[in-house]
Amino acid sequence: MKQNFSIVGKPVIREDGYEKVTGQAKFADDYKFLNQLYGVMVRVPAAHALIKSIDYSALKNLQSKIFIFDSNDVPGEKKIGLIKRDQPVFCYDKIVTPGDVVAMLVGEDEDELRLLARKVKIEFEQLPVLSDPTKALDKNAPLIHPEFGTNLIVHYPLRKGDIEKGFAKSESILEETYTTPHVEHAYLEPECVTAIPLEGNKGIRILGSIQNPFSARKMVALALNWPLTKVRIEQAELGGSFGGKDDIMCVLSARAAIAALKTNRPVKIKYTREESILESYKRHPYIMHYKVGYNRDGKIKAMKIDILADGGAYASMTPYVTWRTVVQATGPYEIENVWTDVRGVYTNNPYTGAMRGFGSPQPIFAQESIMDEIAIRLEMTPDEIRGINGYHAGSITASGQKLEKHDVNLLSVIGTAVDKTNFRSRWIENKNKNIIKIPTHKIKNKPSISSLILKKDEFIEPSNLLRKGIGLAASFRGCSLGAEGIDAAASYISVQPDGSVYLLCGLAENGQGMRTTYCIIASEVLGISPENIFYLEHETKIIPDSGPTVASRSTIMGGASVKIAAETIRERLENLLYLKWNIPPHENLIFKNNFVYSESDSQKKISFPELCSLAYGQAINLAALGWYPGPKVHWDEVHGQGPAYFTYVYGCQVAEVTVNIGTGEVYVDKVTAVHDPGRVINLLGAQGQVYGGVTQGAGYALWEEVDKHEGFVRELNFDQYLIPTSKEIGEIVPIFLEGEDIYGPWGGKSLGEPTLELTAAAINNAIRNAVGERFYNLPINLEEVLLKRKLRPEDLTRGSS
Amino acid sequence: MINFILNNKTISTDSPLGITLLDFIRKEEHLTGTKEGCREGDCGACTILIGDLIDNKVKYKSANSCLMPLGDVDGKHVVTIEGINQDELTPVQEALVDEGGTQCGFCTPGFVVSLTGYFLTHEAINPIEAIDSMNGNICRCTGYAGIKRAAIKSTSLFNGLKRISTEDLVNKKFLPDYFLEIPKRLIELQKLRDKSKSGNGLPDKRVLVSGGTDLYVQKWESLIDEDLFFISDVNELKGISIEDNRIKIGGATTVSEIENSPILQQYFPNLKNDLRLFGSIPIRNRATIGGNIVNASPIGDLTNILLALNSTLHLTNGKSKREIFLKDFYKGYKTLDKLEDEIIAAVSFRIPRENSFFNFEKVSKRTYLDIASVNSSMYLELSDGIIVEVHISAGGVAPIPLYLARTREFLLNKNISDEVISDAAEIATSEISPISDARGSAEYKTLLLRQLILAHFIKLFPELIDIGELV
Ligand SMILES: Cc1cc2nc3c(=O)[nH]c(=O)nc-3n(C[C@H](O)[C@H](O)[C@H](O)COP(=O)(O)OP(=O)(O)OC[C@H]3O[C@@H](n4cnc5c(N)ncnc54)[C@H](O)[C@@H]3O)c2cc1C
Ligand code: FES
Ligand code: FES
Repeated sequence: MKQNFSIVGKPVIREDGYEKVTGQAKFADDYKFLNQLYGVMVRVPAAHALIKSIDYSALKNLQSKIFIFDSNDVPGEKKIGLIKRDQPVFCYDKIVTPGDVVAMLVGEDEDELRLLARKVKIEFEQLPVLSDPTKALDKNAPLIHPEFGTNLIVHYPLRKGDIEKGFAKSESILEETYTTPHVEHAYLEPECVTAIPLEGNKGIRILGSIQNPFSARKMVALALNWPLTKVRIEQAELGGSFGGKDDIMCVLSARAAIAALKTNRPVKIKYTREESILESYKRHPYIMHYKVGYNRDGKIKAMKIDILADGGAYASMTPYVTWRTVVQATGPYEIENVWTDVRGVYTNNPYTGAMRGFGSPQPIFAQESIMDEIAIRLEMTPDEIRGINGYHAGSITASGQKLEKHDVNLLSVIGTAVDKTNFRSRWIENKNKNIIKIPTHKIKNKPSISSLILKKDEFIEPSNLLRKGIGLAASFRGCSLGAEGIDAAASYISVQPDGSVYLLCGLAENGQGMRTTYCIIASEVLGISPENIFYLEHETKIIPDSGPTVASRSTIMGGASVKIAAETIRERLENLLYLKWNIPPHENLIFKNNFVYSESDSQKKISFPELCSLAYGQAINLAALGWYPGPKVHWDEVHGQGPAYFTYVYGCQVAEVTVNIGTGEVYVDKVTAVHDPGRVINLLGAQGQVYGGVTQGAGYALWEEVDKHEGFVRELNFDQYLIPTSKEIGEIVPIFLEGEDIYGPWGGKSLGEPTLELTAAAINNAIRNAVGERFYNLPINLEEVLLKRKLRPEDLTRGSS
Repeated sequence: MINFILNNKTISTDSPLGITLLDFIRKEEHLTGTKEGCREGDCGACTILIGDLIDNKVKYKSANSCLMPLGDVDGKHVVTIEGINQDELTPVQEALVDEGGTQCGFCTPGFVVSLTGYFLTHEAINPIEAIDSMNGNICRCTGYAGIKRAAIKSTSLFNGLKRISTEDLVNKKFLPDYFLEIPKRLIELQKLRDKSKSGNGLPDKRVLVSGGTDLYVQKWESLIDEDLFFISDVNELKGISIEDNRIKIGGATTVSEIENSPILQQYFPNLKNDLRLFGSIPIRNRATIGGNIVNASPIGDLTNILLALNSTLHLTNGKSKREIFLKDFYKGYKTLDKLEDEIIAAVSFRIPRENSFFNFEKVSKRTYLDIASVNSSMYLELSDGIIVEVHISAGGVAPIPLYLARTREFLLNKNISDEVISDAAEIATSEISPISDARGSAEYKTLLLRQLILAHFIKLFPELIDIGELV
């Protein structure tokens, strides 16, 4: 089904490009309001403690007026949360992680407030700290939220076939453990929000770096005990989010709103980088045990998976994140017998929630590493083993879903990636060359320094120091929310008499460029240029709740709703023309280049503005609301079976690395990323997603880690939390293989997250290829490569060794 | 009261001189294109350009406004994104839009300023350097591909042009035309400059600020109301010269000035390359040699290099002077053999003799824009194959920047042989006392130092060493 598009699929520059390169785009902290106050947080220097008393006496008799807010000032629910209401707006009886806030000081001078915050005396009693998630379910483990009676946030089982029989029938069994760390989103803009009380009982306006305005609205309304209508959330230009400006912004919005209403003045909360990293949630660390039964012919017979996710102090998105994990944990492989358990638990660590990838990068790291290990044991190449087991049309997934109604392009993306990189022969060549092992040293509990010195026979020749490796990883990914949430999106379009157009979707721009995507979709339908479209600011009061902007659902859900809205208008205009030109309905009318004409009679032609003016004159409604409810999905909680997502995308990335085995440094030379995102709407935007996602994925592979020591975070700023600079990553080559689908705008699906989820696994496989050793723990930093241990004072739970 | 030009506007302000330029720009001038992402020089969202009058010409450099005290811009031209904007997009801006160089856009003004700054600071343009000029800017969204393409595209406008001038940049719309008037305006402005700042005698009891790249990371809040003494413009403390067979570097000389010094390039041809691993360009534009030494961080790169050159510090309190070996300067973790009123006027070391060798090694978690896990430098003189002089330093393996005295003793008067090198590395690892921290465990650092000592010899004397024998 080849379609002739005028603009879809072409590289289109961003509609907000001008504002961004001139620095005129207004981010949350760029707004300033008359009489604005600042809010600064008061915290307890502990990870788990009972709050005995808070003494504000040091704030008395100050020259400047300071307002104090704590839990007593919360008029509505004291605890909020998008899935589970376990996160206090202000902590009152206890704190459960170092980021927790017990009070907020509000006043005119932010710097002064920061000094004063340190003077608030909090009497507290330390409780035992639970930092190791593997101990969370022990009988004597301290309970993080005693009211739940357990530290278990969620447990998802998945049962398919007969696992014991499956192993019994397998010729070989491989068992391995992999771990991944806490990861910070590291959006470049720290959190900022201002709450502005509206005069005349009109409620409150909240303007901030908010990823999901509707979520924030719900939480603020809950904390204020107000109807949703009185809480107006407006999104400022968002300086990156990657899933990270959700729960944290709900809490900050609630705090700001409470203070603004009490003081009757605008209150701004603006986080420093340190506070941002301290309090905001992270990517879940996973501990993943995989047991795989397979036969000599490469066929995988059985897979048993046990995954533990550290949810940290609050549930946040843990129930949804881990659900995606249970659906996708086997990877894109058809396996008869699967037994999976995924658990999320509370600890005193920073809480964990949504982050680009959302429960997929972790299992992909484990499962794609294991696939390579099996291939190596069977003397196959990585693409061979995937070819034997990979999904194709009609395959049945681990949850028993038949893959149909879309191109199941897994084997094509793998094939393309392999061909484009000459993968096979290079993989084999490296493997044969790199047989010398890295000299590693067993480090005993109390190492004597001298025993660590390389022995003479372990010295490596300089010419042999740099090793080349190539590795691949593949995945399938369910689009949008799946059975984890209510899935629908709305768009509003209003065509003006002069042919210019207002457009707004209920999903929010997070920097990924989806406003541009929506403009392209509306332009394509109406045959106009994207420049004629004026994209409105996202505000909860003018567009229906479309759920959160997560799960790479902007294009497939939001895009589909834009298309419906635009098509509604187009239909009305067409009907008008059928009458006007006296042609039979359903004769093809072409909307192109700002004109509308009849396919059969090019004399019948009218410019788009003229047509709009005509329609307006005839009292035709030129505004429409597009509503796209996601197709039905279903999940059986007991057996973990059901059609989890209504459609899937497929991807394969090949990483090429150089490893310095003298120092442990890994250089990423090139990543080739082949993705089937369905229809590509904006080529420039799609490529941008790949470059950005792969780079983040490389950071995940090699450097990024928030190290929590007894719940405390050490990497509080970018000097310690290292994300890739422009010099770190070599070439990234995006390749798109557009599969057909019946859902989404012209089959446009998802890309944002698939680009990130594969990279760490591909890099790990490339390192394995380079040095002949498998690494089980992310990040694979210098010390991991050289000594098989982490750059940290003590080893926490680690993977296989 | 200080006076400076902010973009096209002359500013006279009584604001505290210790506040950061970033806060002044955003909070007092309400120019919000300059962003705050980390407040410690690591993200580049706050990048601005500073133009200073040197020999009646304005020389620009990029800097992190979050680490720059307001007091340091007296008599200068400060350029933010707003000062680059024109009615139409500049070629740099247009290239960034066209090539997909912006997504969320929070980092973007910083990139525009860095890249525009590149054209303003280089007469000969090449794409690789243009990309390099953004090494202090971090972007979390774009993966840099579009940004790099934009840099290449904007350099292409100068293909074939040998030298570019401010006029060229104005003609090609890289800069607004008010830039042409800046030299004249700065000359007028500098007449107002507070003369007491420069030179003769040191004012008492003031906090000394050089580049501020350590001070403002560590404690910017407490500096706001301090009585600060800015030395980055004190001419007596700047410059690189040869005196009495010694190379002398003024205490307020920046890393960039060291990188580009013809004298140092002559004697240490690799130094420029080595220093590319020091921070980022805007950091190097501000970071000074005196700051690096006095900050006493065990992994200071310049200190590490200077230790291996067996440098002497020239201290002064304005009245009396004193000299001390750098290796004797460090008494313990961040404790120095320095009186409160003493400043480092200069550092000097002997010109390398004939048949001498120098090498610097640095390993960090992230290759660029990261401080070392371990660093090491070695200077060595040979005479008839015998080591007649040698100094080796080791950073990140002790509470102080370490001079490896016993390793030196061992190596003196020996032939370079596999045996000797291997033993030297072993001795080096016995001189250190590393701790486990975010940069690596003690064990890893020990291992790394040994590798770096071996690396010095392998790099400098590949022909003398039979690796086969060494193993
Ligand atoms: C992002 C970033 C990256 C960095 N990367 C590196 C790196 O790769 N390698 C590295 O070594 N360092 C690095 N640094 C640290 C820092 O840039 C250097 O230590 C720098 O040389 C400090 O110089 P300064 O002029 O900025 O010092 P300042 O901050 O101005 O001063 C530091 C201290 O020295 C005192 N002082 C300064 N000059 C004198 C003088 N002449 N006499 C007496 N006292 C003096 C000051 O009073 C103050 O106590 C980095 C810093 C940042 C923010
Ligand atoms: S704010 Fe990050 S470098 Fe200045
Ligand atoms: S575009 Fe978002 S940080 Fe660069």
